[in-house]
Amino acid sequence: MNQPLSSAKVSNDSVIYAQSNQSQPILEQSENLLNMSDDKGLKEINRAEILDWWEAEQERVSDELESQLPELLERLDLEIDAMPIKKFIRKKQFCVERLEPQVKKFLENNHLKFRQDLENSFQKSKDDIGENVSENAYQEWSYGEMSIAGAAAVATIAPVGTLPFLTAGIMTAPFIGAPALIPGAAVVAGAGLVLVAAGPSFRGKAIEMLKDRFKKSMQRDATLRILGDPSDPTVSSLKGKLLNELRNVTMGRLDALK
Amino acid sequence: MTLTSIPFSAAAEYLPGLATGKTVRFGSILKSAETGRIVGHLQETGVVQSLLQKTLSFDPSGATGLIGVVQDEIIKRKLNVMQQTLGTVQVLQYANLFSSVVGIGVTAASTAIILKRIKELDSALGKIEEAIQNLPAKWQELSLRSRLVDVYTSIERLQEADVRSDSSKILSQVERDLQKDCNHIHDGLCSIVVEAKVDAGLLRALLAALSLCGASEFKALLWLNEREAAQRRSQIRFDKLQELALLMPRDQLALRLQAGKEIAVDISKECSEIRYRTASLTHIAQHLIHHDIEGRSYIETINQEQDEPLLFFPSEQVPA
Repeated sequence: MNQPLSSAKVSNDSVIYAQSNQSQPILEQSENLLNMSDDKGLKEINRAEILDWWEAEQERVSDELESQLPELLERLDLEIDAMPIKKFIRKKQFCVERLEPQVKKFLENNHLKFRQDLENSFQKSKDDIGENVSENAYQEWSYGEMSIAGAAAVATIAPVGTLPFLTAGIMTAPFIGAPALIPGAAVVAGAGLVLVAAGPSFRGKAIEMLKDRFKKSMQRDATLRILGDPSDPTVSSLKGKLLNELRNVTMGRLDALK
Repeated sequence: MTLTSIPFSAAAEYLPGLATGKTVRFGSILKSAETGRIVGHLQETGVVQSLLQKTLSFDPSGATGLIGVVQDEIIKRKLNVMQQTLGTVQVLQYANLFSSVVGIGVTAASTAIILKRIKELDSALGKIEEAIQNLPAKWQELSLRSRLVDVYTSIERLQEADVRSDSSKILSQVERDLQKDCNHIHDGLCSIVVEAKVDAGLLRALLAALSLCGASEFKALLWLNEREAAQRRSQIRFDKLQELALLMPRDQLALRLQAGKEIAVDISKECSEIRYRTASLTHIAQHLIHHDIEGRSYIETINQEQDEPLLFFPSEQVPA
């Protein structure tokens, strides 16, 4: 069956296999012909490949961000562990001075890293797909350029540094047993007096519980800022920003092939 | 162009290229890994059909259909004969290639096979409906099982068209009905995949129905020799599959599926395969136009082939 084409085979009356007197393999013959012009029908195949690329990258971004998040949360926990109790009176200041820089560093480093990874993956995908048809206006564009082009069509992409953090957590981590309606600062001030008056054992446990609640609150806020909220796409996050950029690039590539 | 002049070659010629990665399969299309150009497309033939009609084995809920074909005894015998001339490695490659492309599109599959798949799908859907107490409202509205009866009827009419005196009229009606059914199923899918919780069985059933319906629609247009319309329709179908893909990326699907991430990966692979197969149809239609091969002649030719299970239709320069 693996016969050369020069010995053309007639299977039956209805089908004749390719007949040729040339010794050149048919694969090369086809490629030579195809190199002469763009073949129709390729665009849909290319678009299918781009969709596969997009889906794989979307999954990679989601998975890797999720796997890296615990490292940030651990750093925040360590900061809170080392936090003097008196700092609870000015938690917001502590957040700005100690926690916010950790989160910001994580956001900026990861945004940079993912953008670089996506740029490399984008270039490789373009090469693999052979998306070099002349009418493709995006051929010479970088991932970064394409992510900005037409951004308004998908969603406004906020700069990483402006993503909101610690907007709710400080006020929603009350001291144990505090009535829900007492403002946060008053609760903390009251908590300080209670802790001073209490014995060392109770004080240790109370501080531990206080910090645990604060940690959970900060973890929730940091997670929201990194991964967003699956049930609320309007919440700004690093993941949302990266995926919006990726979608912009994908739509640009798909549109160019239409 | 006459029936005997379709420039097919034996698919086994391309096994070395596939094995070394020089050639890559996308749906029924083979592409050169180096240039990204289409080398040609694979086409199953009547040999496969006759085997499948006797010993059809497939996953009714699977969107891409047929499985376990290479376990078939007749195929095994065929492969044993091939092994003597090709060697074990190439036979295995052939078996893999065969099982991956069988059931591709519907250009080769006979209507009897399609009808059998629809029956199996209907039975699977019945079980799903019994198992799920709170079906999504959209599911009720879609009434997929009733829609499957419509598709079944259309394909029965497609089957008898060649013995009808008014075959063109019948086929035009069939094609129109299938287009409508396809659009209904697609709309239903788009509504269901964005829900907070998605049932994997329902989703796979809908995808299988969409795949079957779309392929039958393409075949009806080829029978009518409406090659340009077939090409355009497959492009429209691809646009719709793209729309669907953007609604259900794998990572989000994993969050919505009650069955979890592994099933999401499987469904995502099936969707990808359906997209490639639909994209391949555009190329097939374009190829028929370029070679001036009548759609019905093409279908009859591959149906009548009784020697080679897989043929290869090499691509060549197509004027822009």
